[in-house]
Amino acid sequence: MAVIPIDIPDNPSLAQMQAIQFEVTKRMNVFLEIVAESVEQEGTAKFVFAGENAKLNLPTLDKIIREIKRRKAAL
Amino acid sequence: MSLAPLKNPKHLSYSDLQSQIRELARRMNLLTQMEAVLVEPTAAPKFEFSDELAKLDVQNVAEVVEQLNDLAKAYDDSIEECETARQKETEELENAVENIQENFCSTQTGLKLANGLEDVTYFSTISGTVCIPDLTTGGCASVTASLILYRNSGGNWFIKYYSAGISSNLRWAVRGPQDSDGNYSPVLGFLDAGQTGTIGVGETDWIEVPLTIWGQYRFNPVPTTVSGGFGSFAAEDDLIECP
Repeated sequence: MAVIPIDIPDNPSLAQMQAIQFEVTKRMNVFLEIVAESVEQEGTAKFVFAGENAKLNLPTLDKIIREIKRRKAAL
Repeated sequence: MSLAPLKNPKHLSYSDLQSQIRELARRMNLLTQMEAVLVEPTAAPKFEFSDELAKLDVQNVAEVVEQLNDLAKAYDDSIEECETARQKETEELENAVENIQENFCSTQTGLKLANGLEDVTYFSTISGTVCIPDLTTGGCASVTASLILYRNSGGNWFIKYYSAGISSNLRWAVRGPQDSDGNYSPVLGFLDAGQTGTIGVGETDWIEVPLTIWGQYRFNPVPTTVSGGFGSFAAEDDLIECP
């Protein structure tokens, strides 16, 4: 599930600042552990930021490279 | 070195809040300057977030495109090589066909002259040999037949035949397919090896009919008959045109 944007009041009270700080820190900690993953070559590049984890999907080029090498060798 | 997660108590004092915000801002600044670095196309994508930098390794698509272009060029070169080789082979074959045709026409002209058939409007020849096992010697007694099918200037069709064999006991025949009653059509023979002659034939009896040559050894010491393929006379449209 995607996270919702943080609400930023113009003149936050200490309690509001504490709440914002808590949420920002929590999200920053999630950012520390972004996982970049290969997905199918036909897949689309995608960044997923859920409350508890963040993930970056990048299409793999392995299969294309293997196919190119195979065809080059066959020539 | 990777960054450690920040501690995150819910109710920080004002000074702790300041420290926390300072650290958050520092990390956010690192993130805003995140570098995306191209790596080998086969490398795994990776995200690195340390005290000094935030970095994202991304596979290099440009390298794949370059390899694809190389492959496309290799294909083009290969096709060009094939095309050149094909053209050379075609030329060689055309020359060979031309030579064969010249030789064929020269032979055919000679045959026509030798048989007094210069004015015929259709001319086609077939020769065939069949080998009959010699039961006495264990060898091979062969008999050869040559047929010339032609149409004279009057539109009449004839077959002129020649034959040869190593023994007067050999006979030969050329036959078409067998019908349901067991009869062959067309038929020429059996005739003794060495016989020559000319017979009149029907207009379409012999053209494009699969023929078989038959050889017979009469006293072998028992009669022995063997057959083999003889080919067929070409249709008029399929004849090689000679000048």
